[in-house]
Amino acid sequence: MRWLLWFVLAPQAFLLAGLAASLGTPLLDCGALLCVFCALFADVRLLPGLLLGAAVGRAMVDEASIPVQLLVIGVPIAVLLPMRSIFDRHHFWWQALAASLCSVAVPKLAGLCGSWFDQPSASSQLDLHNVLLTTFVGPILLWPLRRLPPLRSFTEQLP
Amino acid sequence: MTTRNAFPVGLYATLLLALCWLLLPEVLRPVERFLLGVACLPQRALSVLSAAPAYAVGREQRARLQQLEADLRARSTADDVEPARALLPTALDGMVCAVFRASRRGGGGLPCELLLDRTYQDLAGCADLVTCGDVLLGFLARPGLGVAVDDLPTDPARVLLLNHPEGRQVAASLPLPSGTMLRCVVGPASVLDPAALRTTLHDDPYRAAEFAESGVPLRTLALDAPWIGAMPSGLLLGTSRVWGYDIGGETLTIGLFVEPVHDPRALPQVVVWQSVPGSVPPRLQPDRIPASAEPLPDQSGGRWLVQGRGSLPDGAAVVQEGVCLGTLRSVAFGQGLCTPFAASRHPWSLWLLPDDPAVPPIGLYGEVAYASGATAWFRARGAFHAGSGFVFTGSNGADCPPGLLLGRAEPDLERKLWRITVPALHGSQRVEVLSTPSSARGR
Repeated sequence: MRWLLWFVLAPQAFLLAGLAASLGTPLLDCGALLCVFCALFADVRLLPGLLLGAAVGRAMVDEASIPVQLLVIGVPIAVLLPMRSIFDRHHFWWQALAASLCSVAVPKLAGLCGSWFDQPSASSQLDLHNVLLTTFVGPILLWPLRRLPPLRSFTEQLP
Repeated sequence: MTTRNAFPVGLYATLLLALCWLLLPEVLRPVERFLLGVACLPQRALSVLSAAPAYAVGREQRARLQQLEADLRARSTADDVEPARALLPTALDGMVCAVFRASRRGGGGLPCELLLDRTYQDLAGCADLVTCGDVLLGFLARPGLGVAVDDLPTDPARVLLLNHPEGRQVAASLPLPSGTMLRCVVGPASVLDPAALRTTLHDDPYRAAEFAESGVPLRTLALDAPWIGAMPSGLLLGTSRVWGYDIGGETLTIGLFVEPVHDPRALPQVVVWQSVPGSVPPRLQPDRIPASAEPLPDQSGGRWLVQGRGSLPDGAAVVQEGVCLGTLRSVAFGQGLCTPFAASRHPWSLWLLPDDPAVPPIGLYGEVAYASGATAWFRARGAFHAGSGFVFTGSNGADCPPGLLLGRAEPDLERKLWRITVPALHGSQRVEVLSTPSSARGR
């Protein structure tokens, strides 16, 4: 059930972020936000499914194909995942640091993968305003989201 | 640190799968179409609630568009046909063919084959010369022979450009500073060479080695041969490009290359020469699939969810009364995701109709550098032409043929970019998706 909910809601989240932006709210990098959740809070065993749902969502709003999106979102997660055991992931500033890294890495990787695999996309442009917004608003937005379905059921349960 | 966090096998396997997916995209394309098709279904359900699709093009705009298209055809035909007419036998009559696409890397790393909008049997009575203006581009392939050995007479005709590795070489001459002519043979360069064509067999190798001027035009030499492949003299092949080492202010020439006049990717149409004047076979026209387009609230603005009857082809143009809204990525359940010109970053072949009637239409090849809403800044490769005008599609594939209006172009002289404004459409729209039958896509 949780997977059904994830694959229905995750792609729509990207469109919802765009809809909110068209209504005048600041544009948040939804891909970077999901990166932060997967890297810091998600159950590691569930990452492939989570990543696929996020990649499908990003492919709906971007020109590049799903495998490129898997790399664009998956590589920052793979880099940040070991940090989970070193830093206190519940600390706001670590989350903000991870969000800023992801919001820079995602467009940069989109640009690199686009040129390597001949799939350029508009999302490869780095927007400083967007980076700042994701850095400070992302962790705040993530706090209620990871307590709500479907993200709640994918959060790692600590012993 | 737990082992699971330090070495997440599932995540690494997914990344590896993504790489394999990129290496073998055709194998997993049905999976991608299905996943995206399922993800689009909620939007499709929501579209039922929106207003009925509308046509954004009014009667006056339609008449204006038809006028622009007629102007484009007339001016490009005059510019592409007439200059070569004086150089060719009077019995031959020029016939304009649109280029569907340029493909296969040849000399200089540029494409070396063009796919035309007419079949081999349509062009059976034509000479094999293919020109554009007074420029010789290449030769028509013949079905069942050479590189076209698998082609059928009903397939779209292919043109082998001069930089094709299996293309014909031609005799040429270039003027030397002393006033005499240097004769040579022009043939394809290699893929890694600095230009598409290379000269060989110079009639005076010593003078050829001393030649150090780039930008000198090379033209064909007439050969007295009574067969159909006889070459007229005076057709332009390109301009010289001397390649060598700089030694104390002098150039030690190691190669005399020829830079073609046209980038094959920027050629929207070419001219073939038929021996039966007045007989113009019909063009291969794409089918038009009626569809509706719903705007998607994406972050870059302007994407469309297109719903048609039956499956929609990848890369097809989504048009509304001759105006191209963008190109399509096909997904499952008769749906497609349309990326408009301004939101796209893949290369486009464009066709500019300048406002100045004295300037002929110009083929452009490049990509959108950045965009803001319905305005895109387009970076064209090659020389920058100043002058505003209307911009149409060029050779972007069989499903996105030349001559579809994109928008209005103004030169941004400071950035050396084209500022192209496309129509901004809101709400759901009635559109058509162009689809060429598989038999007309070429092999």
